[in-house]
Amino acid sequence: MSLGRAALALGFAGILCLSGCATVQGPNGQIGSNDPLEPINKPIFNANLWLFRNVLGPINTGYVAVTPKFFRTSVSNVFANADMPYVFVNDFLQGRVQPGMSGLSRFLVNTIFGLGGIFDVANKLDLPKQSNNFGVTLGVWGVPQGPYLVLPFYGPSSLRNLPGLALAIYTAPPYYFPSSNAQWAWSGMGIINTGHVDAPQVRMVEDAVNPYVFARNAWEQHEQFLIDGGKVNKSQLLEGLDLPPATAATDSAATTP
Amino acid sequence: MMRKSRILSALVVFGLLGLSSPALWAADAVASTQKAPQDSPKASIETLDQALLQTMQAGKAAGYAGRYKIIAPVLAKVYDFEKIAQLALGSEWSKLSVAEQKQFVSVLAKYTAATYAGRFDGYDGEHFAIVDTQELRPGTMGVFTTFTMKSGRVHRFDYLLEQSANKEWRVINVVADGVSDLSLKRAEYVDLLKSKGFPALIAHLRRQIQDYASGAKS
Repeated sequence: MSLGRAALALGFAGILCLSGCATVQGPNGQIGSNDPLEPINKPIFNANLWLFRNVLGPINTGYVAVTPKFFRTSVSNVFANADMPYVFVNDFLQGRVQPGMSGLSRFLVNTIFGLGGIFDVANKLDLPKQSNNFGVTLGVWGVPQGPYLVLPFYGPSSLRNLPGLALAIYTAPPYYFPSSNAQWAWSGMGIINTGHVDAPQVRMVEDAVNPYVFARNAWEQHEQFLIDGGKVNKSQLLEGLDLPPATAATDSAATTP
Repeated sequence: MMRKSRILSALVVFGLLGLSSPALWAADAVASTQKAPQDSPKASIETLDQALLQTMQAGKAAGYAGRYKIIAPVLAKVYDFEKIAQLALGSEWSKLSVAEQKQFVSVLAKYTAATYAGRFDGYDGEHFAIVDTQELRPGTMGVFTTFTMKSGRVHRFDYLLEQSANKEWRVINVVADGVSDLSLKRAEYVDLLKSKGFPALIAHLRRQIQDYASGAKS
């Protein structure tokens, strides 16, 4: 099979990860603190955005125009369900048994009673969707992030996250499909679905004052959030409050929209 | 495959960012049924959440202007835009004239309201829940909330509030699924201020507002 093909599909779809993954700013707010490869990353980032704008964006527009909402929801459910093994395997690798069992249960319920994930039955059983990846697992194990990377056709990542790409391929159902045609069909639909699901996030990145900095910053913070078990610590909430005080005051009336 | 974490709706929510939350948190996400005393941090967030739901429920039928009308006054009351502006610009703040500071605060408030009005344009069974409040240091409270989508995905919205001189609790930062709005703003705005100057920052924010108002971003 087509490890290469699966990797390509995985990567292509990851364009959307532009907004979903991690970021730029260090824990103390310094810009580019862990981005020594910015001169290489930035052109790749811009190319990914261009691809989304000119390829995946129009495809998504057509997808929305010709399919009913329930169809798109069902497709999205199927791919989300197919992601679950990767999610709960990483939960267990991180020693997080409760989320792991929840993810495993979600996968079994939706696969069996949700007809392969078409229907999100688990949602009604209080088994919510989660996110996880092997980069997070390595982070939990104490492996440092390493340099921030932007991967072609994929988006934000880091040296620590690269091994996870291979694991994602091996835990995804299409790797075990007997027919390469089925693998191609799955990968193609996956790209369309990713373009649809992640479009709002990409739009948000595009709207940012500095999309590159925004995406890097958000990706890194979110990755750390996952490493911390989905908990925000006090220092992050308080971060920035101790900046030098302003020397001039403004008129509070200016806050009126 | 197609593995990626999503900063998503979170971003969507403030006009900034978005993602997914662990089941651990979801398990704790029990809606609060008790009304908080007025002028408490919890009451401020309840007011905000209520306005957000109203904005979403007003949906496309109300149009951008209708949604803006619902959310903008509440944001002006609940958010401390002056403090947010100072924190977002860091040491650059004091380099601005008083007139520029006032202009930035005003545009930032309008941009925030435009973002909410533009992105909260439909309701599909979502709900908010306050799961905890905690004093982080004197005069500063954290209010920890969840936003549950119809799909079952649970997002975290953690608010940092400070008590103003008139004893009102007002939001100065929102952390969505671990992504700090203030941190994002600071990184971007300071960078733009240094590279292109104050007029470019104002022009960018006004362009975004105009795009939301015209429906270009809907």
